Amino acid sequence: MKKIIKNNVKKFRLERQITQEDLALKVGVTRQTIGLIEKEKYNPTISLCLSLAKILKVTLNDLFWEDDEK
Amino acid sequence: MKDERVISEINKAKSFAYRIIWFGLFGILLYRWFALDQTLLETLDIFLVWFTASMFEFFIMAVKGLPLTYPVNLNKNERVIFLFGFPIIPGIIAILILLITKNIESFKSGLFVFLRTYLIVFAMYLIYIIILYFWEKKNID
Repeated sequence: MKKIIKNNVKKFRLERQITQEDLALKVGVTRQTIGLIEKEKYNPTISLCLSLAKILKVTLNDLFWEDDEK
Repeated sequence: MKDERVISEINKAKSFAYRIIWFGLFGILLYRWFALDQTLLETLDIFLVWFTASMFEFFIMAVKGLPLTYPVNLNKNERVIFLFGFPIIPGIIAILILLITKNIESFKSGLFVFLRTYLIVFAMYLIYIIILYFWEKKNID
């Protein structure tokens, strides 16, 4: 069964009033990659997950969790 | 079994091999055109393989949502300047190649070569940006 990484990136980003472009710039990826992560169409590497958690000031557990595809 | 490290290493090796082939074919084409004075028709087989690979690479990047200017991050205005400005460089390179090989007969023919190259590159970039726009509409917005 394919594992899908679910996330709260969009929720925390909007709470902190950061645009996709700004977040992308801060973690060193493209805006398109942030968009795909938020839509849960791309599983980021652990390094990128840690960068996102650091910038959004949340723990990794709050930001990402694993879910089985239905 | 799908080992992510193995898959990643295989992809890296394939990508490196592709680069060697791409530059190798390009080098062969340049050598045949400028050193051996062969025409495009005489090198059509190699050219078609090289050109198809180049076009495939170019458009697959758009279809996969990779920004045209990656890794340089440009804002909206800068992207417009890039779209209109960057094709000038291939235009100038085309003229320089023809000047070196003494294939330009007049200023008019030089201008024609420049405009033709400019418009081809501009059209390709425009198509790329349009594909990217629809990719973003579908996958992000």
